[in-house]
Amino acid sequence: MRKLIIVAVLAFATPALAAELTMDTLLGTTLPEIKKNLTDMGYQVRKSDMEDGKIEVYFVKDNKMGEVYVSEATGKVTKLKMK
Amino acid sequence: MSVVDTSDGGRPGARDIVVWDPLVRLIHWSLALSILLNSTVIDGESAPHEWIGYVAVGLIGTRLIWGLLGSQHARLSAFPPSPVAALRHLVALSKDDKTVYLSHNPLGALMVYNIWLTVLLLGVTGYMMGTIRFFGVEWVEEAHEIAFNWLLVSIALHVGGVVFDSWWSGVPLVRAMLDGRKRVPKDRSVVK
Repeated sequence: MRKLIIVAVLAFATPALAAELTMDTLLGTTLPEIKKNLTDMGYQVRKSDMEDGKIEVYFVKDNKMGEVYVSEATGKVTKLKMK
Repeated sequence: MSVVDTSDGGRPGARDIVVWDPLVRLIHWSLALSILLNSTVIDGESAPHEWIGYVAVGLIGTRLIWGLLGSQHARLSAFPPSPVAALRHLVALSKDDKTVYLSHNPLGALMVYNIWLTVLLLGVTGYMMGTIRFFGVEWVEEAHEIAFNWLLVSIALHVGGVVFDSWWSGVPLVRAMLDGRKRVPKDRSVVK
């Protein structure tokens, strides 16, 4: 019974912790905001750049690495590159 | 070493000496081509950039092994890296000494090792940038960039040195790296 509860809790809790970054994710319009959101989603934030109204952040998660470009105007992901 | 007197329209007072074996020349021009490609037409973030980088590292690795096993002038022992010898060479230049080195002259030797080390550093930092541990880590990217800028400076100095030495010593060095032969003016003393 206890095992079942743990499994149930995990099943509900995990998706929230491991939210996946997609093109629909709203990450924020400032670098600190974007960094915080990515970190909360379980991404390890590496270097970042700002260029042409876009914020580019390098990240690592679960042995995967990638780059995300966020529009400073809308806070939306404009490009997501996994390596 | 083979010494051949030129009779085919070459300068009558010169002798052709075979110095660079085919592997040395192939590696030299392949390395030059890989650097040219990776720094110009190939996108730095593309997969071909990585392959070409690894090829460049492989070329240097092969050259180092060849430096132990290869022909006389190809051996690392024929052009040991020696700042003291390089300084002595500079002093000799200032005294109008036109001694010809059949392998690299001591300044050229330093440049060879410098370029190899710089390309190896580019290879190592480039590889690191693709690993989970160092992906997007700023100092690694900066090291890659600094090494690249240093490589450009080095190549400019290398080409300048080749032009200068060809004029100074009278041995056409580019031709030597193409057909393997150094055409040494007869009156020059020669260091093997």
